[in-house]
Amino acid sequence: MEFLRLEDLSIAYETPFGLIHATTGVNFDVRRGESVCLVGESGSGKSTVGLAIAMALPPNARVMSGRILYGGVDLLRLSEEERKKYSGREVSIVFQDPAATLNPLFTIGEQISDVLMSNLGLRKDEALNRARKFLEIVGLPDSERVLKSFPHELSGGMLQRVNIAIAISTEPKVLVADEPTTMLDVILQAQILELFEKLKRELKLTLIFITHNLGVASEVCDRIIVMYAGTIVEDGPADEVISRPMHPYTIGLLDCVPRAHIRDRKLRSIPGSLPDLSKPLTHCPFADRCEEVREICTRAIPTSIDVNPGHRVSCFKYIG
Amino acid sequence: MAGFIIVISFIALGMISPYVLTRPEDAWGTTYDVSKRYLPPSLEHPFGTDEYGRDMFNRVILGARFSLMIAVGVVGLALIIGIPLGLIAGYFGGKLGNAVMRVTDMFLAFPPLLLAIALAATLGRGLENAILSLAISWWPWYTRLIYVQVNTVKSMPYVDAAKVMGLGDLTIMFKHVLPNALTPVMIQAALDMGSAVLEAAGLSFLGIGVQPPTPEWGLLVSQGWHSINVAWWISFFPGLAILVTVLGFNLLADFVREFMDPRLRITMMAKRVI
Amino acid sequence: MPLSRDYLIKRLILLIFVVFGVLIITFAITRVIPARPELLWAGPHATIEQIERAKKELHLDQPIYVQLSYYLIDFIRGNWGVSWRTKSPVLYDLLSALPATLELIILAFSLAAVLGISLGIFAALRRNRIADNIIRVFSVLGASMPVFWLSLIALLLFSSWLGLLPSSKRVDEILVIETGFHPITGFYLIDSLLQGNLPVFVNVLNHMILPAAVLSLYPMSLSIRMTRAMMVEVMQEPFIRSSIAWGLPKRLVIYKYALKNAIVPVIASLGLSFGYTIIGAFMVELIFVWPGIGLYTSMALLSFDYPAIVGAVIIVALFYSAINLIVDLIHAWMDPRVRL
Repeated sequence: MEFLRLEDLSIAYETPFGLIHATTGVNFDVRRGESVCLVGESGSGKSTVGLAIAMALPPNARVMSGRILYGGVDLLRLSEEERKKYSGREVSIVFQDPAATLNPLFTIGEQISDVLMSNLGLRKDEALNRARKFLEIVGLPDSERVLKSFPHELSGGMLQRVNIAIAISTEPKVLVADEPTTMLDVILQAQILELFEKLKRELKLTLIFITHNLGVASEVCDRIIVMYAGTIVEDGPADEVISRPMHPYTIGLLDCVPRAHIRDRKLRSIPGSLPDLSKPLTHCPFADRCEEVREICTRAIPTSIDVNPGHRVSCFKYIG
Repeated sequence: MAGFIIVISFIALGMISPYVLTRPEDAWGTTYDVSKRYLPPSLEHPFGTDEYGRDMFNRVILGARFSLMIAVGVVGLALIIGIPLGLIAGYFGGKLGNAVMRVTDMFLAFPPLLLAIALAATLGRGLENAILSLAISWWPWYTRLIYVQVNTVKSMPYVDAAKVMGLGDLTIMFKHVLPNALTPVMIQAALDMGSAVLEAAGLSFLGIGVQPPTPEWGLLVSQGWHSINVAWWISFFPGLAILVTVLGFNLLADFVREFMDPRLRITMMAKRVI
Repeated sequence: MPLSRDYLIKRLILLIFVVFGVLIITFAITRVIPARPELLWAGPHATIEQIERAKKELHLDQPIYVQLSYYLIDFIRGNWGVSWRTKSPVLYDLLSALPATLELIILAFSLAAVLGISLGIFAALRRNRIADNIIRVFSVLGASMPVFWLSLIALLLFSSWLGLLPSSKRVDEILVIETGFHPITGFYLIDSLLQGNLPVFVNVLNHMILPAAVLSLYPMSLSIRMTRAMMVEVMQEPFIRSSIAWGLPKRLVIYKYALKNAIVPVIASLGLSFGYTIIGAFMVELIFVWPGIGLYTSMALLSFDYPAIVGAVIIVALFYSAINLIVDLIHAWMDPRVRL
């Protein structure tokens, strides 16, 4: 049995403007201890996948079809009783906006100890001790002061470390990190990434790291899954995807990265924009932006195909 | 929604009521007919008659007009006083702004209606004084509201852009800041008319608002008070009219609030780019 | 989450300024605006000599700032004028009437706050189901109802027609005489308990039910509406979703975390709610002949008793400011972001 399996996951959001299809038919397996990066631009559905795994989808999300199997259990169809056993303890999540995800009226100590007391059945003092330990692991040695502080008294970088501390303090098997560095400046970003690498090594987490930045992805993860318009377009080992990209979108993405050492090169971008996600997919979503588009691309949805062991693409270029 | 219908009906009724009365003399209170005193509600007198034999239905219908006049008068006057003050305080800030807001806060230290009571007792009774008193107790709310709005708008990028382009303060104030800051305040003001009706009725009930024989709803309720045990309808129907009118405004306010929140904000944000 | 001493001191100083502001405004309204303040002050049936005396009392021959100084001094010394209706000093009248009003307002407001918030939470958790809709209809009606009309209807229904409850005053005189009840604090509920006088206690409570219930309806409706709206809004916040994702049980998330965030703005608005309650009390006391400040003021209004009106306005405004200070302090205690 696979450790974590996403099967044909299609999730849509109900909005005043109609149903927005965030993901369509997402399939992938994760092995224990693997670190997978979901990479894509805004609207690619990568956050939705991450939130779904962590059972943290917003209230207007609708699971249209598919399952998320963890140890044989479908995480999407649990009762409240059962959910409590998995969220926080088996699967946890670090969110994107560190300030918004902490309650402004309670101290850090209160919030983190509640998480520990609920998940691990500890007493308050035991919980606080454990909290101190994990705050130090994430690089906040002044843990006493942090525990007594309210969220608005701490900086963005510190808050993000607190978030990470809360998420890992229950020693979950799977950690989803939803763009944890996007709201931080570059220096902090580097520090937080270093932290993730350390955690990956020392705690042997199964990491699902979500980012729009290919550079970050290649640093942190063994495996990269590229998403576009709610589908997986490419999925393979990180170094392979970076050095020998297969899907035209991935190729375009890599091309877009500005290279300071090459002069007189125009900044490249991928012309066009995302397709209208309020309509279900009927053909390859990248078709109207693709340089290598063929006739069949506008008529059917490509299935995913193995081009190398462990490296698959969803593109008609490689089919037939 | 239902609120919208009620409010529109109220406004329409308020505007046309003097012309649709079936018994104008009763409504305006210029007649007595002792033989018709205290008649209970019937087909001929749907709301019964009062101690002077006047048809209550007509009186309540005409009362709508006075309520409308008061509502518009109070809110309008409060806006006229409050908006310029808030605009100046918000836009220029500094010592002037502080001073204006201190004065505003002084007025807000009074519970609603208390100032109006003091003013009405000083200035004297009657419709115009009631409107004036209520307006004077009301303007600080709008000043506060506009002040906050102007401060928000002031720090928007397009105001900086206008300054950089060399537009004068007055121009910026009127062309850029005011229209954007004004919208929430105007909406609030329109919805406040219901509260104005309620508060004016309260003043009239206490005897310091509208005076007899003007058929303002609050006054009608107080006039029916001493005969309430024998003729409940004299107080009942005018009070019901107040209830329905204020209800209409409240329902409308709820509706507007729901509508305004996430959906309109997206489109409004988009329009604000230039 | 203790409040710093500095903050408390700052707020107290602010209160002094507020009191000063209230006095200045009342001065402006009662002495500056009227063309002949001495006429108002002396009352409608005053003789020429009484008017001349009023002129001297108000120091109207002096410049405004001198008048203002006398005004402030008089206020501090408790010299608030004499009610020509009751012939006794206004401050004395007001202080005598105060406990009755306080008892009524405290009961009504507590009812409004407790029931209002509970029903608001209840409705929010059963959003769009039957219970929620009933509560919403109830609260929007309650927020639209003129309190004086409701008082009359309630009086008619429960007192005249059904004969269930008494229609006026605080207690039946006969019972007072029979049981030898005498007021100590002025709060009859407390006094009767202190004297072990159960019949009077029940009787007072009986008299209080109707006015308190009627008075509580408006602030209760406001509380219900606001609590419900805030709970619904807070439940959408990211930090609620994160708590659930981190494994906290839903009960804890709703009743500890969401509730606190929702309650804080509701509590902050309780000050204003209280203001509406006080004004409502004027009319309720008048209709139920409840011997409090409201009745005193309403009678003063009807009989053009100007010194009494002014005194009542000042004392109510001061009371309101004090309540607002308390509410602000509670707000700051609950929300650490506010203590700037």
